[in-house]
Amino acid sequence: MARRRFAAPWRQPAVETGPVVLGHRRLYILPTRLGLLYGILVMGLLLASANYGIALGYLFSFLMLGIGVAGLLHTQRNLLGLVLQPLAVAPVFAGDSACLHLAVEPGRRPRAGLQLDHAEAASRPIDLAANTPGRLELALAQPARGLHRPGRLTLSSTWPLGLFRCWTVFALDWVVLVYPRPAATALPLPPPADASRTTSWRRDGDDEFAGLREYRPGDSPRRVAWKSVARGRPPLTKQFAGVGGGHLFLCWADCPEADDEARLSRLARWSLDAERAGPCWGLELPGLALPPGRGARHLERALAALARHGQA
Amino acid sequence: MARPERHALWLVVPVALAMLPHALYVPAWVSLAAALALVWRLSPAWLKEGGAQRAARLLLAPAAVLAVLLQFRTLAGPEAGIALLVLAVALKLLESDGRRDHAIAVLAGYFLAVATLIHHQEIAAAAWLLVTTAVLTAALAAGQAAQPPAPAAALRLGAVLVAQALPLAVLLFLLFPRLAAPLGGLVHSETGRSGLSDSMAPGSVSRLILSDAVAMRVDFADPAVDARGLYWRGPVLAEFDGLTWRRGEPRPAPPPATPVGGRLDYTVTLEASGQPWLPVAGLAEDMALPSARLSGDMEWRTRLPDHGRLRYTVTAWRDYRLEPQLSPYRRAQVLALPAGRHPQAHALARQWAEQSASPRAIVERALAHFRQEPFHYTLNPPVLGDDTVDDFLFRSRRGFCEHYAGAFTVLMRAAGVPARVITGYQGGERNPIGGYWIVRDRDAHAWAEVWLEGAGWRRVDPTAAVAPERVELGLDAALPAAERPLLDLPPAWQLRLRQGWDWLDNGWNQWVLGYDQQRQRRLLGALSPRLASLDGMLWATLAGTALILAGLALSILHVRRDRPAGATERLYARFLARLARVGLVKGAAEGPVAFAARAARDRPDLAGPVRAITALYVALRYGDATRPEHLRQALAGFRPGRPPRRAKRGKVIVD
Repeated sequence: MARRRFAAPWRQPAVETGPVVLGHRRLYILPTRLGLLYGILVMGLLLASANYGIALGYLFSFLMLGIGVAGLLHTQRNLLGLVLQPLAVAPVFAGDSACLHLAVEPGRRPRAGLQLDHAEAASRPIDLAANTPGRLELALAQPARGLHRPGRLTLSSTWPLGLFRCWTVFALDWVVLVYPRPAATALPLPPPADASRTTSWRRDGDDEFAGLREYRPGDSPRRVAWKSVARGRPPLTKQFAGVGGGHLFLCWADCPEADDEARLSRLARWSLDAERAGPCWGLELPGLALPPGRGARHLERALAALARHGQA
Repeated sequence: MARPERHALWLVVPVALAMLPHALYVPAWVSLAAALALVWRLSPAWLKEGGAQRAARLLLAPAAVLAVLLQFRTLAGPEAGIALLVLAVALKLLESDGRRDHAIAVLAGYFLAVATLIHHQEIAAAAWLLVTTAVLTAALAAGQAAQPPAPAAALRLGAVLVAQALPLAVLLFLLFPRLAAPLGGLVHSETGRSGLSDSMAPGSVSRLILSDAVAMRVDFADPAVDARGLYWRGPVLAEFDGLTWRRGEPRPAPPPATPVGGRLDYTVTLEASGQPWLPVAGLAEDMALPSARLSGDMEWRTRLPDHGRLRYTVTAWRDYRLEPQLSPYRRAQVLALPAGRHPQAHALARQWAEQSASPRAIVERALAHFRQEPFHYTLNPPVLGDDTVDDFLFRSRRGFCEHYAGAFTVLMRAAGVPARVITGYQGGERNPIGGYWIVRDRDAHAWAEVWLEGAGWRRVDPTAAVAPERVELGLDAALPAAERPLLDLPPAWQLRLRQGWDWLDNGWNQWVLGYDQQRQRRLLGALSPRLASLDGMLWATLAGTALILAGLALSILHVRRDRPAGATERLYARFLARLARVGLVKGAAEGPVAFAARAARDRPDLAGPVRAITALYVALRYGDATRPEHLRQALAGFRPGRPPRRAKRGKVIVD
């Protein structure tokens, strides 16, 4: 299945934001190997009819030819007028498969045997009833961290007869965020921040009120600025600055590994561990620093930063 | 991998349908083996993948090839080939379960289905083939969908594909240039018909007579011709051994013949038989059949002994004078009788010869004898003794045309008049719908020819002396009432139906099965003289194909624009179109209210009417407002112009 197709730069279509409507000019069609076999069969029947002088043999050879032609048109019709819409892709860790979801609107006709192909993988075919949108799922293995575009995809179908394959090529505005693979071995988290550390911002602490920030899920209810909530404003969280507040800083420099990618893996692992451990934690990378926090969005932000580290 | 059971059904049932007619022709063990394989494939046991099954499959394939080889002594040729193909397809079904295997099995099914044409090409066979093709096409489609479809939907698709393929098939069938003659000769065609035989013993013709099968159909150039008066001459039997009449030794050249009487032109469509005889009425001047040959006794025959259905056009004269001079050698041949047999017949003939002045008088005397003595025409003559001629003439006096023709010829020869027996057909039935004549096996007949000085060979039908109805009205009128059920004649109401069916069948034979180069040129030439040439046919094929393909593509690929159903939708579409003209396009996923808000933001000058119209639309579409008139009025005055100068242009959102 995972046959690598020739992917030259000039075969890369322009990236579209979707929805993509499949018109005549986007559809390509060619016979399949089965179609060639069918052609040979029809030619053989025609020859046999001429050889034995069977008049009905001519008629049925031509009928089979006609079935092939009608099948060709039906194959094109099966894709014609489809509306494709890319759906968001959930980020994955390197080494896992990202699942691309493509919403397909069939319009007023039922469609059958639709399949999404990529150079490296193919989706399971789906059938769609009339007026019932469905989705195609394509699992793409993601070996490397970073922000990736899946590139060129084809939507194809050989329905109804399998004699012809009709397809369309597109590159949708899909981005797959791939986090670094968390390091396999667990290491103890670096010790909480101490006074010797110098950072460019005031660290959160419990000692001194430092300001308000937007409420994030997971913030302690004791820190919510309830007065402002009572006034009908969006919830805010009070922030305090202090020294040695017990916050964790996951630093590039603390990683025992020498290799950049290994360090990123280590930091990803620590991020997950720290999130599970409970206290607020921050992240420090060369050229980027994430203030301490916690919660799912904080973790996502940290992992995204790790994923995009060193990339434009 | 086990797939759902419905997939197996979609595979096995259509292929079984394609195999079914071959069960009549392949050896019984082939049918049995194929049936067992299909049942195995459908049974739950097949799903259990095991070493024993795999080994069985590995052994079965060579075993099948070996068995076919032992049965037919060859693997080539249609019979062995089809038996092998039936087995191969059945085993292939056991082999695997992928989408590709499914498709290949269906392709083999197509081939098997078309291969039935070797045996049968009747209307019913073609109808069966059409249905099978649709079912196989449905099966092919069922294998391509992600889930096996509902049977009704798949069969409908199969039928639609076949229906859409038919115009192209008919066009190409009519226009595709045919070869002058088949490249490899005709397929041997099975037929139950024995046809005219080249020997005649008592009982041989009457056996043929019980058959209702059509022997030939005749289309006369002059529709007024009554075929019941015509004798269709087949083999000439001049040698007699006391029991059986046989053809004499062949002569190299046809004897001289001079035409007498008017023209008689007709086209005969002779059904397939194992005999080479081409029955001809009158003296054929020209026979439009390349394989036809004329023998020394003026018999027409084809070089192909096992012929299929043959069509020949004959240009003939009604009557003729044949062989006015008879050489002594020839004369001796047609006077020869086995020595020492039929003493009573010899005595009677000698008596007639002594009392008659001329051979002509002897013939008259003999016919009078049959008329006056108590002879009976019957399909059930009593068993004759050792001397069949004397026993018939002087004891039983009950017989059929071969008895009368044979006995009459013996009498003539004994009296010194050269004579011989002719077999062929006499009579027929007119099909009032098609205006052609049907001659059946039942109309087989035997009569005599006597050679008279100055007149040559003259036809004499002694049966007509006994039972004139046989010649004038046909067999059923001549037979005694008690014997008529033997013929199994249909009642009157069925007769009408049968004539209609025969007309259809004949049209099918003539225009579909008999559509050869000659017929194609004639038909196309009648449409336009230019079409009759190869160039013309090719151009017409190209043009016609292009036309049909364009029509098909238009009907299949034309996508009707999504026209909003109600008046409300139409009005809103008009509103959207007007906004689009000034650069405000509603996104596919954008709701009406969201779009109105965006439009108002981009074009504050239009905000009022846009909001108002959207509110009216929303009320109509989702609320409880029912009358679109307000929307129509609001829309009437809504003509958004270009944005005012210096105002920011609306952002164009292209979806």
